[in-house]
Amino acid sequence: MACKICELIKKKEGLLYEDDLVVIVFGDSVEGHLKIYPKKHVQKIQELEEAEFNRLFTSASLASTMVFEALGGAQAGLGTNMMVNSSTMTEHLCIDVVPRRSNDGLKLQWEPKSLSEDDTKDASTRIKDKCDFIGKEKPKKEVVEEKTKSELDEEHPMVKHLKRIP
Amino acid sequence: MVEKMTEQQRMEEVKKQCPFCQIVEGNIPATKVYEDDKVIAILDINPGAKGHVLLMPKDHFFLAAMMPPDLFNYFFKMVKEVGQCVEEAMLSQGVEIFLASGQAAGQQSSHMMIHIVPREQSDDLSCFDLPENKLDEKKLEELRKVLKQNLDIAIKRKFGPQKKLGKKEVLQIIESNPQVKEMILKNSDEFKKMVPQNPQLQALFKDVDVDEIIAELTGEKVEKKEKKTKKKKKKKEEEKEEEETEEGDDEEPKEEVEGEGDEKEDEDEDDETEEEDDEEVEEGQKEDVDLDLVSKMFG
Repeated sequence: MACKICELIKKKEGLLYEDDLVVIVFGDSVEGHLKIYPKKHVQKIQELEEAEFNRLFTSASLASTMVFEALGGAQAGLGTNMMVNSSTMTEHLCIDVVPRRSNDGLKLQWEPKSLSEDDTKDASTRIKDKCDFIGKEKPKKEVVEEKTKSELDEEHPMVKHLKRIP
Repeated sequence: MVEKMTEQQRMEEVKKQCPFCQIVEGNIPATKVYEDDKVIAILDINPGAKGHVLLMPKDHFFLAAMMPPDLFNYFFKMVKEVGQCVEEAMLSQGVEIFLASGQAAGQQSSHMMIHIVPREQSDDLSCFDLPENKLDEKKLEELRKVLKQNLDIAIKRKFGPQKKLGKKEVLQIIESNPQVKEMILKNSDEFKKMVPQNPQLQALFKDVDVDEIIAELTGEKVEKKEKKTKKKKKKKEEEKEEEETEEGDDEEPKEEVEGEGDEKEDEDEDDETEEEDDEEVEEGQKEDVDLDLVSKMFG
């Protein structure tokens, strides 16, 4: 099934902005809701090249400022949220820029979880271990040479036994 | 020099009060998962899921847009790196990257930070699902016109071939940003001081004279105000003439009327000057309030 967003980009439907790497369209949650998509079909931010990634996030930041100003800014008591679901749950990676007012009915706030000390320590250790390799070469996995079928056959005890029989 | 010290002292005071600056300094404990000379990542003490990380610049900024361009690019590069680490470490399907700017958006600290939250299909983080609503088409169309123009100018200027922005283009950009225009009109001196401190304003005024632009905008305002007071005076004079003709032919009453008229004129002039003073006072008060954008955002 074709990606709806790729189709939208191809047809240039309702585009607010377009360049060689990104497009921006209106979302439908609140007035001024913007959706910034990379033209490349990806689900996660790590699938983007550096230039694509920079363009996407800088465009989103500029778009956030533009829509904030256009809707009245700080004087109107506005704020903005920037949100990205970078996961296999997403069809086509998207940055949502959502202008916010108090009492706008949006509840973009999670229920804090009460984690045990063990869980916290476990999360901390695992993430720290991964982060230790940021900016460094990750250790290469040892490559085990695969033996051919005939080599494996040669080593089979029954075969060895047969060879001993004069 | 004295003003610079004051700004420095102000920032020192802000850092003392900011719990995240204190974490950076090592004065408040936190579970750090990554740190370098520019950014720090810690576990959130109110997590939405196991492995919920806060990534922030070590320097104190209220908003992401306030970071200088080099730090902005570096910071978001680290969002990508740390995000991948969280995903791999927690064996999740991915991560939610969440930024709140302003009290209305749920920003609870004056130190800008990004939330990186591990995501799974079966998680209970439906708070991140945005609803679909029916929006006012007319308002959207008006907004579309403004945004189309502004986005094109802002993004293409940033990434396109470096075109010089002339006086006309700069004025066009300011006209389409009512907040900025108001700031220039109400306190042009303060605005001039902000330009060298704000990277976006620096880029905007790179090839034009700030004073020229301010003169262009404030000159326009002076003309409009003069027109307004002239109109008012004309209207009052017309009203007085009407009253005088209605009074009748008697000379003495006329003199009295004229006398009253004179007094009235004086009163009216006093009223006008009082009104102007009131306006100035109101403007002065407004100037103080409008310049403090950050306190506005935090209510």
